[in-house]
Amino acid sequence: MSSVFAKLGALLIAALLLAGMQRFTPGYTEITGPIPLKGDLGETLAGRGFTVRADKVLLAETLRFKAYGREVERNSGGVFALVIARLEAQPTSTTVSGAIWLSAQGARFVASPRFQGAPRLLGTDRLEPSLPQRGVFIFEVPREAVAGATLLVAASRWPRLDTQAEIALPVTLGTPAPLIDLGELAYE
Amino acid sequence: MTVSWLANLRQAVSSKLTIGIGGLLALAITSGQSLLEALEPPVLPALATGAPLDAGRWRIALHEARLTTRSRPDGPPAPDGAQFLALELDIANRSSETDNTFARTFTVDPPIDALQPNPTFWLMRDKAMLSALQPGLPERVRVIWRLAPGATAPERLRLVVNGETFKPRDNLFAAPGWFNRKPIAAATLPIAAVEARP
Repeated sequence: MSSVFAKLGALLIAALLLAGMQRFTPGYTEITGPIPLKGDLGETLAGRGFTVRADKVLLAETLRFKAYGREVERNSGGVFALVIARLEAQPTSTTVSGAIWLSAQGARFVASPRFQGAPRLLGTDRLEPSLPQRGVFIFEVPREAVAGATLLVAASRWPRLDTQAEIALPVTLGTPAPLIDLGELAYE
Repeated sequence: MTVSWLANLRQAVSSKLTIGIGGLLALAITSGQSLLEALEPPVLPALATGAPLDAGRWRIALHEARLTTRSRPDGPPAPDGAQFLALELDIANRSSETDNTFARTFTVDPPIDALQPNPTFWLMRDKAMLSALQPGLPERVRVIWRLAPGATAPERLRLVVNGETFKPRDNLFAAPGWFNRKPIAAATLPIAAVEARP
């Protein structure tokens, strides 16, 4: 009789152990996920394939730019968040197309696709070594997603075992400007 | 000798029984499931015009459908006299990530032969093609189908809205995602005639 209990107990312990391992060990995506590279605004971060430095964050209600010879104005139900940054390939040519605005609530906003043809847009052109690009990442976010966000920069949207720069952005960013002309922005 | 023979027999019988019971249970469960699926009534809840519906990843509200001669929201009438079906809707991304799979949120059911497949989605804010929706920012969208040349225009459009469920850990990679897309509501919209040309 006691051997039956011992067997049952062993079974129970094994089941608990397995359930605990399933629940509390990191999953496949976490193990093979991005390699974080933490930093602050104004700090140059050197990752595996590129270096990045974010300098300034601006907010705007409306953005104006010239694309393919046409004046374009974009407004939003939320607000536009602009990050002026510097990117450089290191050590070979690469594309850094995974810029994400990670809000304090955990929502991930990919750089807005509504600015095709805008000047000095980062993340679209190929980067070359020792030819740094200065430009802007443009995100469209709800107003409540502005405070305490983090900028994620990686070669792809879902980096696997690759660098992801995590740049902490200022907690308070003031009120958004009514209109910013992307052609007149000071990038230097 | 006899005792060990008996014990062997008992063990064999009990293991066979255990395996048999497991198999029978599995069989019963799967047959029950398929029976339930077969019994499920195909009647979907009706979605009223303009009423918002949470369909997993998307919140959508269907507004109106009408025939038009314009292939895009800000363009001139199509030169070859082609007709288009335009559907107005509000759509919001409820997930935590920028997404572009909005084309899968509804299907025309029953399918209308006159409609050419793969409609274009237009973001009315920009009068430009919609490429992705940001979480928490609802947008007015126009979906435009081209009508096959010479086809008679349909009178009503029945749309089936598909819902998805969020899984924090999927079965393959333990990654979060949206799964089990299935119809959750249906809406029937009357199709308004072509607006008079100015």
